[in-house]
Amino acid sequence: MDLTFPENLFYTPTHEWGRQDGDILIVGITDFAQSELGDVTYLELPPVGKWVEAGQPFGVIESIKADADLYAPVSGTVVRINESLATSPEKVNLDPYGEGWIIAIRMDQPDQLRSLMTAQAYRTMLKEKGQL
Amino acid sequence: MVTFGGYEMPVHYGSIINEVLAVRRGVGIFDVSHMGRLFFSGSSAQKDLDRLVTLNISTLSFGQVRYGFLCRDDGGILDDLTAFRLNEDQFLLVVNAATREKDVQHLVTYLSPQTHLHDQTEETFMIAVQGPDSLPLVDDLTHDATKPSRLRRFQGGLFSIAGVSVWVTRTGYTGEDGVEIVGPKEGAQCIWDQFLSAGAVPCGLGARDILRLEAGFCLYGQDLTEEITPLEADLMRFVDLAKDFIGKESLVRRMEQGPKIKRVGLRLSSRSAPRPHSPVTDGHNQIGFVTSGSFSPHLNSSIGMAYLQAEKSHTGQDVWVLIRDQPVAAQVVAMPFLPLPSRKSS
Repeated sequence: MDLTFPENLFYTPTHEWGRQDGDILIVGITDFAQSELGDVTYLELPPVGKWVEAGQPFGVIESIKADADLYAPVSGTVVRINESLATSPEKVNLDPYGEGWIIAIRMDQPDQLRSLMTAQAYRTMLKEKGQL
Repeated sequence: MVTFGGYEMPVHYGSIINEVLAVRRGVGIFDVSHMGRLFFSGSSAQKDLDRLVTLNISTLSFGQVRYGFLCRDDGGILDDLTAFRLNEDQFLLVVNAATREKDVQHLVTYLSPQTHLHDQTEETFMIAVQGPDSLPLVDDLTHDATKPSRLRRFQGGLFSIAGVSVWVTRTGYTGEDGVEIVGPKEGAQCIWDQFLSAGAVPCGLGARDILRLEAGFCLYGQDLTEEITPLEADLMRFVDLAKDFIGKESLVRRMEQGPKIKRVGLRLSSRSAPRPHSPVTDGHNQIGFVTSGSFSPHLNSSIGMAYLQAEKSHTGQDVWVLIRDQPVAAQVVAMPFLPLPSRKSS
């Protein structure tokens, strides 16, 4: 199955994606990340209102075979978390860029987005690491 | 693919959860050729093996399989294994991959000159076919008039599958009904392909680990080690104290004193999985540690095995498992974790 990396998103080297909506960034994990993790079983997420720092872990994602940290693409305040993942974490596998979104961050400095990768750059990084 | 006991093995062929469900609802097939297959022959093989393993070899009837342990002098478990009597003076021991060489070194020390040990792990394959629909499928592919479904549990015999002469035992590591097949390695691909064509779902190590945990079966190296005896592991029913074997004296002494720690099953209140070494507390102090853990697709919560202080290990006890330093509520429960056809509650 071919992995997809939508053009309109920002990507991190740690396999998160971000979708900008004004000063809000919706965050999830990439199609590559979900396929590597396999069936997602549990997510440990910060409470709404918590401040997260760019490049630092904000939560943990557990799959049937591994646990992995989730990293914040930008600094800011968590304004929403995807509550439905508590009972349906498989959404992260089935629809990683849609219903499988994880948190929404109100960005402190939207210009941090410029340090993130485009879909093409992310794809190139995966290829260079032999992962695609 | 991962390296496991020196073998390149798939963790999964697609989705681990789908593989687990296939085995509980239909039929799955596992390549378990990494398991060690040690054949013993000779007029003294029975006597020698009886001294080495905790299960009773002399009372094994032809074609019968039993589970047991290879112990050190102090009762510590060197390996867990199954012993299969092929005929009067021939036996097959199936041992773990990572421990095979250590086992062989230990075994040969105690064998009389008339007993021959042939490590045939490299020359043979082993395939497990598991699940409620497995026996009819195995029967369909068997060319003999007598079919494998006639075997009782923990019984085996010689059959011809896909034109290959193989040993079939009604055993497994999933808690489901099913068989394990041992034959010459040249026949492996053909038999594997025939089962796949007939609808068996290929399953990897990931599914195997969840299935065995749900069934309450131990994994050597995690739940059983040389520092643990069958007493702490709560597996004395696989130890025959009516005969002599290496480690018996120590085990009897330990029984008189009572175990300090005991292996238990834990059911967690969360989907978050405990991992080996996760501490277990009674709310105040650490009372043990986790040895295996996973999300259980059938229970929709996480489960684990742990060793707890014996006085705090009774079924129903409320405990907490520390996952990333946060306490998660859990309860000590009887195993198997699921009602399973091949296992009664222990």
